[in-house]
Amino acid sequence: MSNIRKQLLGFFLQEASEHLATLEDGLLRIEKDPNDRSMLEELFRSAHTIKGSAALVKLNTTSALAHRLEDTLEAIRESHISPSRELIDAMIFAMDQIKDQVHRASNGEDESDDALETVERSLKLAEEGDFAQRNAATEAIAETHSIEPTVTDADNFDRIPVMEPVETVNESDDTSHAVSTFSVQEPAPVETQRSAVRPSTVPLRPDTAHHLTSGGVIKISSDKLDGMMNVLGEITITKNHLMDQLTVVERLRSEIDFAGQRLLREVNNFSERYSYSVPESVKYKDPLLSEFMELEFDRYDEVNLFAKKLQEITNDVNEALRSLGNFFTRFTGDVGTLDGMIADMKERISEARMIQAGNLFQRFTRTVRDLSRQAGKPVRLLVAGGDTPLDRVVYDGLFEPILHIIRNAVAHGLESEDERKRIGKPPVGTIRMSARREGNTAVIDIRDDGKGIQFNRIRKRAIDQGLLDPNEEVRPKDLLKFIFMHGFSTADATDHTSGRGIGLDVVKDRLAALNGTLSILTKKERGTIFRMRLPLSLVIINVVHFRVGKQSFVIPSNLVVEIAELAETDLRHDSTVQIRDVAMPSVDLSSVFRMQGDSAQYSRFAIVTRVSGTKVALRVDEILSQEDTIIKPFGSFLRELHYYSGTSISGSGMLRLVINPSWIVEGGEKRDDEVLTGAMDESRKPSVLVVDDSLSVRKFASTLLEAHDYEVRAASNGLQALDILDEYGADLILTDLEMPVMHGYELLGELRRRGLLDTIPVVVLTSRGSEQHRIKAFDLGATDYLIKPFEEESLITTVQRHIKDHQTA
Amino acid sequence: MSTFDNTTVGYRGETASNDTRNAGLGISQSEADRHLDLACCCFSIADMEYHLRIEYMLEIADFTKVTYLPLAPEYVLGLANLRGEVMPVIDLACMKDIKRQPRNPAAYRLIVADAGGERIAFLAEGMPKLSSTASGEEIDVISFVKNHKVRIG
Repeated sequence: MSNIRKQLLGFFLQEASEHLATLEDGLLRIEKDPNDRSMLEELFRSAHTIKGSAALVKLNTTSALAHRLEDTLEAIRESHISPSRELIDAMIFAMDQIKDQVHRASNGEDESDDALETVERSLKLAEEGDFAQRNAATEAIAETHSIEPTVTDADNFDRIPVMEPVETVNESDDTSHAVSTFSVQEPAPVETQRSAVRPSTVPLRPDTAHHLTSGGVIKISSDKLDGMMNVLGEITITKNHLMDQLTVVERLRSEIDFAGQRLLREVNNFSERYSYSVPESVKYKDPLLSEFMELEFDRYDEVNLFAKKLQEITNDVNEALRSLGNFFTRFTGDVGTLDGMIADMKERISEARMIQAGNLFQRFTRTVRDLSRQAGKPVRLLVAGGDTPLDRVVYDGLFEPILHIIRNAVAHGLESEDERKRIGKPPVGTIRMSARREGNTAVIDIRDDGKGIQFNRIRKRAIDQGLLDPNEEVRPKDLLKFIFMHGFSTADATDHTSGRGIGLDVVKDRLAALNGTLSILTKKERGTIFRMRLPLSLVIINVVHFRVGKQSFVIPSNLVVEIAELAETDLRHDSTVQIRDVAMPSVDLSSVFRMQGDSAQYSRFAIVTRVSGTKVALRVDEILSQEDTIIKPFGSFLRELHYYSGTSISGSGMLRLVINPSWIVEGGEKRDDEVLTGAMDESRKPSVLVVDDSLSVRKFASTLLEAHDYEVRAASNGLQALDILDEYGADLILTDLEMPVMHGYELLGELRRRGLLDTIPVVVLTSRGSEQHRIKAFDLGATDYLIKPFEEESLITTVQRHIKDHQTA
Repeated sequence: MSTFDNTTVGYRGETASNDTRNAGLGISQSEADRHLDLACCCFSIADMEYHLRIEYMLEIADFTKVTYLPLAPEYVLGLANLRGEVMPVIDLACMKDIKRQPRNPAAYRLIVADAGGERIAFLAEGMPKLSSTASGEEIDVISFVKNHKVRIG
């Protein structure tokens, strides 16, 4: 059995267990109250779900049994038949058969086809009200095969006697007890007795629930996991405090060690001098020893004895110091181990809280279908990286932002079918949703292959709404700030999908609340990518701890691109700083927070973060540490103070504010005049993917391109290239033709199939110079064709030209 | 800055009626009388008196270190951390534009109230009194949070 099927079966067993419990409980309730419509609905849903899920894991008999049960329940629901006791019995019998099949599946056994026929006949007879025949039939069937235990460990089954009560009823509930309890001792009226008879030897599994949940899967409330994570968070804070204290203890240990060594040295010197020396005063004191020379008999005075004692004590101290040293070494090791175990536990609990991105993407299948119909634009949805884990809170919080992005993509991004045909695009528009993990962050891309963001329309609408002076020259990336404004829409009319002007502002705010960021990359006529970066865990978060003035703050590490110490020339309150020769806007937090920064010098450190795709340097006075911590969000009273996403308490109990850079840079009072929203990360180096099976070619091309400020990734064949492409993307692909695993033509074909040739130029670099090869490459969508050996200048020029062409297209 | 006047929801500006308080609580008069022994917490700040109904009260704490909350309205004095619970500290004097006389921190107390599961602390001068008699202006904590919550942007 494949791993996927095993995994699916595990899910099914878990799900079936719940629905069978519902069926069991519900059928007995229906028996008591045939008019309980809501319970009927619930039973119907359970049978329906088992039917569908069983079919999914190829348990066809189980599915058919559930289908048959569903038919009967539907007939009751539609009032075509009434739920007589006989029918309830037959349904319970059917449910037992489903249980049996599920049990078989959980043991890895094949289904038993006999059950279907038995259940069919039993239900049919009960539906028709021919109880005598039904009983005869079921008994006969039971005797022959199907009702006999069919599992291998049949001996473990208990059997219930005929007419045994099958329901535990609250004894205080006299009415229900009277209705639903049967007794061997007190025969019921004839008709009831007949109808109440159940197959004589119905197998009853001793611990059914256990068997049904024995697939290694149990379901626990996410609140419990959250509770565990919160406790772990508190442990993490205490551990941080312990580690802080350990540093102090280590320092003390060094001081004690140093002082101890000094003491030892001095005492040794003293002892060497005085332990055995015989002072003149002693030499002649004892007349009994007068005949002995100094070396012939040892003599001791008080000083000698004191020196000896000192030596002994010092040896003890030395031993104690050594033991202390060993203890601290072990203790430090244990704390280190504890640190590792806490990190491991955090990882494991985080994993338990994780939901695969594919589940999130799945929720949009129907949405895209509906939006496609409403907009009259054919759209297909492609997903990748569905196995990327997302924190449950992120999973819950991302639905709405993605929904807005998809609505925007369909409404504004994708062209109509006719328009797409006219400009040579495939008639069906594509929305790609992909997820991947990068370090401690999850990156989710929503990409469409539409016309890209229409900057001219944004500009026009901004002018119409009085947000922009008609004479003002604004860079395209600066126009993007308008689409994040509440109430701003470029749609001419409001419809089902868009035009209300609420959307991207929500996206940005929701992402900020999740400590995430949003970048937009767009190319005219090529499409748009909305890239969301989110932390993998929202409970315990790694933060950078810094100081502004006298106050401590933290920023989640996933929002930090880099930390730099500013050059002397940048120690001014300028709005831009240079970090490694890249100029970027800067925001002095002491000014933003209206706090007194260090008076002697300007804010010396820059925390580079990314706000709406643009790198921004936050100037702070001091970087203090980096640590794991819990972020406690504000309550409703402060929740709309968006400059912060909550508070964090240090190991020593100090309260730190968690800053939200997105709002600090763009929000509040500064929104009108200091917006730094950007479209593309212009400081990002263009990236080239070099695909060649020759190491030397890969190295040579990489070195050459890196020297010209390209970011280079290399793959040794087409398949590897596709993986890298999925993970990192590329602005240009430079590929060989002849390679193992997947050759260059196959790579071109796959890129074309994925629709990537529209956005990524592919330059073939091969030793095959024939026209036949060249034509084939161009037919498959290659942008250019270079022949090895190549001239450095020619390669660089070609790469530069095609990247530029694609960016400006 | 939000003001604090008699028409604002969350600020009653009148002494709460004991009858109203007990209505619908399902307690007998004698029980109600016992409750009335501690009907409210009365406190003052900048010579103005206020009271909170006892059911909103969680504790009276010594004035602890309050962490400044930049960009918050002035009436939010900062954040207090009481045994791991972080809560905003409200200066009612500031809401009324009344200047407080500088005092030794030891002269202040924090009245910690429960606003529907959320904690909020009010700054008080001197030791607040738990009393059966309401005096000063009533702070309805739930409405207070609803009406005066911080809105930036």
